[in-house]
Amino acid sequence: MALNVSDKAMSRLRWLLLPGLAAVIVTGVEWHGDRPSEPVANAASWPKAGYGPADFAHEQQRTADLLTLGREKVAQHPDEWLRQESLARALINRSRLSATYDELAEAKSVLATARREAPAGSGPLATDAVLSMMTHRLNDTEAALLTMRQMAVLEPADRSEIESLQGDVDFYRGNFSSARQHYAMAKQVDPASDSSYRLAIVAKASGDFDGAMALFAASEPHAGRSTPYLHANYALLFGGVEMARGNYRVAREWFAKANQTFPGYWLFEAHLAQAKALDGDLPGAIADMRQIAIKSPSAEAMDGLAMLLRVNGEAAESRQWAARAGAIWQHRLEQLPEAAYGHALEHELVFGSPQRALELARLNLASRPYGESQIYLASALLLNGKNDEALAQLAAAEKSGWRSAPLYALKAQAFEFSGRQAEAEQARTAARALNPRIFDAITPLVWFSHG
Amino acid sequence: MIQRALSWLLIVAACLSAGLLASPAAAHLTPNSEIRLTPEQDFILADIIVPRGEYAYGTDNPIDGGPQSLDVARRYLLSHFAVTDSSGKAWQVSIRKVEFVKIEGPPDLHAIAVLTPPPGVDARTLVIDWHVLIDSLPNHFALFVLDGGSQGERTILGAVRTGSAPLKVVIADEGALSALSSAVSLGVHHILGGYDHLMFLLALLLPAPLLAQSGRWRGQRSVREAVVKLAQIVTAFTIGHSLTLVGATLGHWNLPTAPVEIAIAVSVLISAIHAARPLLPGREPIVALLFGLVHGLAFATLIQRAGAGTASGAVSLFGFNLGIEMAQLAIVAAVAPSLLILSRFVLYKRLREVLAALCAAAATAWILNRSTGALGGFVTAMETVMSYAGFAVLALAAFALLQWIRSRAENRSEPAPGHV
Repeated sequence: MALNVSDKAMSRLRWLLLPGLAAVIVTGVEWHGDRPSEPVANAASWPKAGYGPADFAHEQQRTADLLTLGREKVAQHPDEWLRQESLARALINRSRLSATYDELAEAKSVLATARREAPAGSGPLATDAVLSMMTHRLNDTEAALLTMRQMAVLEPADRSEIESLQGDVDFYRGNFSSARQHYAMAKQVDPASDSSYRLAIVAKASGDFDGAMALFAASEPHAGRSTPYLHANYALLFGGVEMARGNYRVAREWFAKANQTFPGYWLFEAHLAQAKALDGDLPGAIADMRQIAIKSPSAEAMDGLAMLLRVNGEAAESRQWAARAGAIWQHRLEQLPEAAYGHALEHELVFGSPQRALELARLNLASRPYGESQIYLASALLLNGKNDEALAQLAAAEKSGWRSAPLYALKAQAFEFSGRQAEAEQARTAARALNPRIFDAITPLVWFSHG
Repeated sequence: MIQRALSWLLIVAACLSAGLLASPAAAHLTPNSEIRLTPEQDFILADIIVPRGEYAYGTDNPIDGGPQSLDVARRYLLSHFAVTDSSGKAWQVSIRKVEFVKIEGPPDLHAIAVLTPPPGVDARTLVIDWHVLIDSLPNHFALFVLDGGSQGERTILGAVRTGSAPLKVVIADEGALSALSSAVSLGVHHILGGYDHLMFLLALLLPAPLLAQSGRWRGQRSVREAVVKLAQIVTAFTIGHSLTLVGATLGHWNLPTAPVEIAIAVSVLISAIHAARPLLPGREPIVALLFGLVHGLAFATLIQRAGAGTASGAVSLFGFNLGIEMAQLAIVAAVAPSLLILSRFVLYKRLREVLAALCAAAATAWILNRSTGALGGFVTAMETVMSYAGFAVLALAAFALLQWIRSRAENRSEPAPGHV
């Protein structure tokens, strides 16, 4: 009898277990199917860099020494353009760690002297091309490239680099396909060259985040042959891609890795402070960012701090920091206008006047007529009540191949202002497809790497 | 030579592109205000959300949440927007509630305003002259949405920013009949797309023609008894879900969705097991009533989201419930005859067990999905398959008809009348 009861119980239990078993099998199958492929780069297993200054302080010292040496050489041979070029490179090198445009402005002036000193057909062309590219002067870059192409002797590697730079110019002119063609040509001219880094930039701008991650990973030198500074910058790039697709937690891991690899650099620290805010610790993030803004003192960190303070309702202090940042942007606009337009514009969009933002946005687009500048101009146009023009700019950006969540979020906003509900919904869906968190209430906290 | 110089400089440039000189990736997003309008019978409710930080930045008003800061916020809001009809006649604006609250992300200033037209003025046409923050913050804008509508849509009415003209809002008046038919349609669509509700019902119907004996479904009810049992089950389920639907809607219960959804999936699992082996034989109507209460909570959540409960009051609530009943009865009418016929054949045992197992597997998948978020892909695929259930009902009917014809033919060919 007891056995009979037990059998019945077992029989009923079977019916309870069967669906459970089915679900376990299905879970397993789905897990196997959904299992993400091995990430191309992983913050948890990030190797150490091989050589070079281990932190910001040491790197600063190294670049300061190089700069002193460069100045001494120029002082002894002021009429030799090669010495001038060498000083310009030291200044460019130093500018990486600087929170000002002083070094770059000086490099520009030193290169102008070098050009005057150089005999016809020679001069600091390569350094000039790179500095022009860095400071968003595309015409000057192209002029330097043109002169370089006319040189009598050009190694395949030289020609490859010229093609790559031409590709960069085309990218910033909004011509993705021409940029890719030049990168391919660079590879054709010199098979040893590697355009992965540049292609990663194009992939990210096209909304291909997986492709961008893979290409950045492919472009990075082996950790053993990399400096902590360069290595850490790659961690920042990976984090930037994760931010662009809304993986804020993963991005934070990358930013932490960057900071750990190259401690003391304000830019990495600012990214980490921002990540803290995204994790819900706004007061902690403000305290960190305040320290960074005081220490650096970088206009970007000041703007980031002003935004965090503003969101936290600390209006008076927010205005103070925004005003300080505004003064720095104004100074930078005087030093290197093309390089400063985009940043100054962002400051104006949030803390300044819509008219000034629009003025800067038009200048910015003239300097680099590509998707990002078009999105900025659309933002400024919207602020000034010019919906149709804003939509036209966004359409042009889209047509160029630019794909980003902010583009579609802005498009949705423009349609909302125009009362075009269905199109606004469509744009919102497209924005969410690229970054599912684009409309989250915390997203406005993002100042750095908000791709 | 050039190449070496370029390579070196490009590494520098690459680093810089990630840092100092990198142009920002795209336009920065700033927090903006959102105002949801919900039309009531004689007035309009405005649910106002203003980011607290923006409010402080734009006004310098206190935001500590104390009585004084709330009073200041209330007065600020009241003095920074006005509502009129199209001829300029002022509506009455009162603030029912004002608070600093964390809704999602950083805290917000949240207020509920009641917009009442003057007597004799249409409550569906209004002009909103909005100046909250936009005058002091040129980059701030306010998005107006119409919440609800009996189809549950969130309609964007427009957005205003500094310099914008007052926003003219015309809310389409559905009329009682139109509201009723929309609500009926919402109810029908909800039950037809609510596969968990349908599966619960199906699992309860499966053993309805049968009698439990010694822990098994062995005996058979007469057709009359089976029909009565079916009617009891459906009625009990209807009473159950109607009670909670009405209670939750009129009582404005604020229910968390997740536990209700999980409880519904559990109800499907239990009824599926019961269909295979009698757990509570003879008490199906009680089970239907109790679980009906849970299903009603889910209906209430939907109707609350759709705004049908508040927008058009009792008419919509009645219509929604009516839609559910109509769809439910149509499904029972489509499935029950086939089950009644097939239950007279030996093969029904296997069919019932297979269907019960499928229901149980689906319920388990829902439970796992709703409690852990796992099996998302599987659940989507499963529900896609379920969307073709209409064909299965037709196939079942055809199969039942075939069995019945064959059995009749066999009976006729036998010399003496027999019993299947």
